Amino acid sequence: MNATIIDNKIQELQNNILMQLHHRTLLKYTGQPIVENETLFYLLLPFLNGEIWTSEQDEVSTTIGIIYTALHAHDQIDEVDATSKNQQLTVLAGDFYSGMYYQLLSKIPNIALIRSLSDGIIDISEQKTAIYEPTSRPITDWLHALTVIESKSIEQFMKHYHLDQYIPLVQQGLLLNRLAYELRILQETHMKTRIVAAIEKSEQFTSTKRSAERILEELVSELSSTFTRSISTSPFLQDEVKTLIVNRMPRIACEHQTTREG
Amino acid sequence: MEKMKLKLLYSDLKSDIEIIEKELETALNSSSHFLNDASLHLLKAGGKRIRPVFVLLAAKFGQYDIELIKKVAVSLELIHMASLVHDDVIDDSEMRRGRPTVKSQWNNRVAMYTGDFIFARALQYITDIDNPKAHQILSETMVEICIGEVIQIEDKMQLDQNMRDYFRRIKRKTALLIASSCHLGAVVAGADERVAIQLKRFGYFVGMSFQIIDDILDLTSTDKQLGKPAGSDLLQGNITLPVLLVKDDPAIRPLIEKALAGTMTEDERQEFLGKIRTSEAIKKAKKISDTYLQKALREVEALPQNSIKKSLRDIALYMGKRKF
Repeated sequence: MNATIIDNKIQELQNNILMQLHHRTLLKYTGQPIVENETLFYLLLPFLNGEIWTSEQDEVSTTIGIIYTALHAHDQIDEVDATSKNQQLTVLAGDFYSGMYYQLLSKIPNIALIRSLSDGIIDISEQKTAIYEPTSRPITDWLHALTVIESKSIEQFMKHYHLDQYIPLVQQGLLLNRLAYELRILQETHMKTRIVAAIEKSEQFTSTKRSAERILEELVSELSSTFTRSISTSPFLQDEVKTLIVNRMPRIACEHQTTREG
Repeated sequence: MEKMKLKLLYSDLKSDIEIIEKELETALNSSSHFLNDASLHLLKAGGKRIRPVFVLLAAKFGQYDIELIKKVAVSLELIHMASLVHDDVIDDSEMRRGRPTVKSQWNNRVAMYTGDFIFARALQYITDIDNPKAHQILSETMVEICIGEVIQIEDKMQLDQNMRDYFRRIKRKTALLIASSCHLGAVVAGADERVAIQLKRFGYFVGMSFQIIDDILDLTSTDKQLGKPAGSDLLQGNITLPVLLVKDDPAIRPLIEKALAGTMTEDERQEFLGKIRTSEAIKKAKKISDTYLQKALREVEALPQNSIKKSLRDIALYMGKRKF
């Protein structure tokens, strides 16, 4: 499967998601629902690797994408002031998307999957809220939180369809993307997001006193190496899929990996 | 006082309501301290538990099994709670039922995640019901409610709307979830399909009547009774039935426009309340609410003989006639 076919498949999924979520007013005031291509890439990984992929899985992958858009919408709400029409409708957009994912799965019907995805959303909401708690936590806790936030819904999907062997790759790949994103934002804006501030605060559990940027660089570097190793040693990934994953790794991760290992 | 009156009306269900209260407490349990605090905070704020009551009453028309039906009742109340947490963000509300809202106690983002958590818990509960039809009813209701809220925001500040717009809005805002509570209770208990539809229609009519009364009370109650300034709906840009009925009165229209423009003074608010309270609008709105109430009562009459019919009638009458 070449890169163009993969991009087309991701685009097709993206289009299905947007079609399901189309709502004139929401579109006007909140714009297109957002779902990252990289998230969809990992969601489709088993299919791209040649696993049997049923029409139900195709349909369900749309609902997983919808869950990501729903949760992402609520991440866009300002902590202090959400009184603008855009913000009010973004709150409702997230709720509407959640209702849509439930409705689509009800129509299939796949009640067991609704259950399992709800379990996942509970976990994600708990981890997202943890970032606002005043207590400090070790860095491993935050990495776990980010892993849950980024990959839990795809994990539930994979478990449901007995594709468990892909889960570690999804977790590492999406965590790496998130850390690389946080590093890029920090370097470009010099602003610490809440999660970065929490990670920096974790330094109190160690003897080192690294800056947030240094911590993120090291995390990205370590995770890049681990992920690259996981890909290259994977017994079930096809060679061309291995290459595709490596090629899609965030550039910032490749740079740090080269620096460190080189 | 009013809440006590309502509780007396469903005293026959007391032990089952207690089971639901306990289950709600369990459902809101979280490994996150913040979510725990926020959710329990909501639970302590109480509520009339109207939706669970309707689920239970409707289920009495089928094979009533509290262990099964409580899943539906809890789920519907959780969905209602989750929507309140998100509504407080949209409305920028500091207080609800005399307590600080989740968004005011923590922040908007925590409120979003609390709502998402409660909503997911609701789905966790309802998935114990292995009946695709029940899920289709509930999911469709949820989508429709959201669309209703979107329309409400679109219609905000718009005086050039008609009664049809208003009815369409309150149907989705309130009546649908009450209708679905009745419908789901009956469907999950395996009641006859015709009865399930009658109960759904009953819930719809009660919900419409209830919301109109709610909108009237926002204008006729005191600030103290409401826990917020009387006329808050209009001050927030929501055009309710009594306002629609007087909007063309030249003595009141300028005051309505001032309220919508956010330039209304306290004296003008009092003047507006005085005028609308003595206008025909309140009486007319009550009459429309009463028409819905009568339709609800007719649905009850048409239901098969069951001792529960009296409870349905009494609760409908309470909801449609409440003074506060």
